[in-house]
Amino acid sequence: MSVIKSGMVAPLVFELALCLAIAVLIARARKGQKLPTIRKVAGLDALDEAIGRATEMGATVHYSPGIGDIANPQTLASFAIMGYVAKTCAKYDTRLIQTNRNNVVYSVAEEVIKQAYADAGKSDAFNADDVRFLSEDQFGYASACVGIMHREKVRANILIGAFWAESLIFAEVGAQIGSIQIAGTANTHQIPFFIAACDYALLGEEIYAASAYLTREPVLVGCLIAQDWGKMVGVALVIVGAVMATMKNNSLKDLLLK
Amino acid sequence: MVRKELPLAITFITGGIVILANFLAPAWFVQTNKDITVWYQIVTALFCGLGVVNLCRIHGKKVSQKREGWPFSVVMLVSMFGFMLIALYVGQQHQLYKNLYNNTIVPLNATMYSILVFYIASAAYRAFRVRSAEATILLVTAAIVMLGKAPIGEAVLGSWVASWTTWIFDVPNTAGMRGIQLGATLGGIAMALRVLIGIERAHFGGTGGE
Repeated sequence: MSVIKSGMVAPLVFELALCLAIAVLIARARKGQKLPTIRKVAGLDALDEAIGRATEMGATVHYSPGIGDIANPQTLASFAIMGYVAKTCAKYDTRLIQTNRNNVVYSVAEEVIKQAYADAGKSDAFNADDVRFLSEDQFGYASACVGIMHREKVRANILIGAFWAESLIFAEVGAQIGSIQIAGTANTHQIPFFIAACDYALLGEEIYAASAYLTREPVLVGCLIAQDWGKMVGVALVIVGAVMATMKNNSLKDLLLK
Repeated sequence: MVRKELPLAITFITGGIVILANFLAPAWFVQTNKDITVWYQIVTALFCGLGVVNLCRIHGKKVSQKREGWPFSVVMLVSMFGFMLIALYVGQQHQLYKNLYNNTIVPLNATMYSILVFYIASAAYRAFRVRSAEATILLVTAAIVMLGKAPIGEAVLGSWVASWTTWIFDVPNTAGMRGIQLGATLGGIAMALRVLIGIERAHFGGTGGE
């Protein structure tokens, strides 16, 4: 019996190569070697503008990390942005209401926000009642969020994480009440809804770049570059594979299926 | 030390086993992966209590202080504990529980889901307003796809609408989707690796990083 599962040799090699690239770039970053700059991400730059606008209006910021569970990488990526949003809100004494669909995400979110308030030197301003678990049910959560947006004078609506059918409900209600909206997800079927209804949309991988973008920490930037190398390899494989398949040569396809 | 290093060590060991179990065939990996999944479910179930406490705290305060909309909070608390007690007393397979669920939760969910159609219409109206070259392309493409999908489109304009619609779905749409998916998947893998090796620590508080 083979040690590696059938069809998993190529993915394992690719994963190991990605790990190696990350390790190399982290080592380079730690040595202080120059790393490429990150392009501007309008959605992340607009976070300050959205919170600033809510502050000027004396209104509330709403943050949703989506409905994915804690094992979803989009939810984990969302925590980095949530921490930044909470810290900025704490700095400007702006009310932040953070809502959750998942119990585990709720408890982690509470810690993230509490820590952000502490980092801003505003531990006393943290209100545990503004970090809310609403419902495990998808549309129960959606309807509760819609209620909060209407009742609590939300003027900055930040939706970043894994969203499904409820994405458009949030984004449309946010648009109707006049919120500035920043949304992002890697769920491709929901991206068009966010683009149509929100002021700024983070597309797919941009949400994973948030922690590197917001902190500019060299180690995280190094990981981002390794990710880009992986993407280049993927694109090269697609092009070479398409050319070979056109020439009726399946050797690359067979190799990847091993 | 215990607050951060211990969770990081647990994450590294369990995450490493789960990842390797996807690639490696030996039975130990497969079985350990299953055991970890069961533990994950147990831990997740334990967290349910925290959610209930949060709901009781927020809605309990609202009721006791008679804040605006407090009767809705009473309905929420009665429903939550009502469902919980009935499920504990008669079980989820009992007809009473099924009737309650099918006649309250199911229609409420269907109502929320069906509201989406109106939101799609208003979002489409906003997206289709011709403000730029991109919006014009979007409008023309969407018009072709809508006519291609509606029976009247093919009946009035001929079969080209349906074939153009299929081409739009199969070629530019699929290419764009796959491009985003490739980036998002690699981003997800890199994110998981960052969490696994402990360089992404946003879930401990702050904005990530060591």
